[in-house]
Amino acid sequence: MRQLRAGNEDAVRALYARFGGPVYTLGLRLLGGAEAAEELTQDVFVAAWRQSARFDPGRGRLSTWLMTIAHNIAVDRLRHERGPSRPVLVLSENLPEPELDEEIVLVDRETARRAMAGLLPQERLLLMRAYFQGWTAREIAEEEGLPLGTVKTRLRAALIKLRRAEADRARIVARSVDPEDGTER
Amino acid sequence: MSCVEVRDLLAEHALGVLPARPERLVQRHLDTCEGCRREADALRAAAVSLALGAPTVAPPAGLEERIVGRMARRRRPIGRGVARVLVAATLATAMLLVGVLGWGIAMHRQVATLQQRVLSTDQMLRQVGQVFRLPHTDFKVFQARLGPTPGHAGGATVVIVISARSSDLLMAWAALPRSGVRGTAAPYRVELVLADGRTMTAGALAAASGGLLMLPPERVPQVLGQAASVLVVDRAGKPVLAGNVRPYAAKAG
Repeated sequence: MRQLRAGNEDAVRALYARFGGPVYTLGLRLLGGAEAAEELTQDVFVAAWRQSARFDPGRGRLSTWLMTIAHNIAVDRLRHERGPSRPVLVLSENLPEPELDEEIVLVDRETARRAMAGLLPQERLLLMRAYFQGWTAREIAEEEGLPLGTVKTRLRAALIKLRRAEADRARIVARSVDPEDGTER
Repeated sequence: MSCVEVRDLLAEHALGVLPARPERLVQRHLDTCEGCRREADALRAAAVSLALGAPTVAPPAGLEERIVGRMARRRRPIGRGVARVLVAATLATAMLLVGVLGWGIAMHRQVATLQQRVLSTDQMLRQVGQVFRLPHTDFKVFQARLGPTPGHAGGATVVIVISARSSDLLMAWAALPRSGVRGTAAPYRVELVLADGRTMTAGALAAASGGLLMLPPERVPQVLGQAASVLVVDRAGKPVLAGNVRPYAAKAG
């Protein structure tokens, strides 16, 4: 991050190699078009460079920090450009399979996939509506015909489940690493 | 906003879909509440896993070069005139921040105890320190976290900014027992101990909002680069808080 702050080109490229794909895909999902996703990706990496001094490793991983910047910019743009109307959802089934070779991203993805598999379909749907469509809890409640309190409770419960599943997975990975030499068994 | 009210909104905050007004209130609460901040960070990490766990599309060829090119254009050296304006603007921002942060903290009911006030001085240090970490400036930023000397209580943070283009700048926020402030120990002064052992008074702490004492941004002769430690002394010149000067670190600790 120090190198990124200093504007080191290699640091920028390394960050892009790890997160260019997830950021661009998030743009596709939320904004619905390649051009908007490209613009978002550019803005996110420039913002990360300019805000790199604010990254605090004590508060979370680099992936969380960067993807939060991406999501916030995308949702802002979505609200600004489309107003109260519903955004178009780009279904994950319509997106091609990944072309990534970065190990850390793959580990993150595998962990996240497993965590997602543990959610109830209704919980997954509500999370998708919020995270990938940018709907507020109130909008989801109206659309799904559910009480607002129920939507809030389910969103929170689903996130807690995801968090627990990831923590469990992290413990399993940690146990599978040989404490003597740090290699995986 | 209470912790219970904030936690009710944290899922939407983590998912980035909280409307603007409650989002601002939540952010303000998180700035001062460690417990809720931890909860928010954990939920946000879970939310981000939605993006990381989904199939990913490779970005188009050439996008990386466009990003690198855009950043290269933005970090072109700036002219001396612009730099001078930037220094002046940054100093002005610092002055404003002192007022705004003090007001923000006063608006919270988080400053009831001395410990909470000490923590709020840390918050100021982090935020003001960030202002001076702008690209294209020659600021060197130092900090000192002051702890109580034996028999005293409280704490303080000091930000020292050294610039080749401008006067040096010193700001301080202190939290001291209220009884001491009103009693015979006040007024308190901030003193610098230079590397060669000389001491120098930077100024007197004045009551500020949020129950804090503050030494407003003070332009001083260019000796701050030699400061080794900072003291807060009482009316009798007795040190009540003390701490060493070290390079500014964004992370508290």
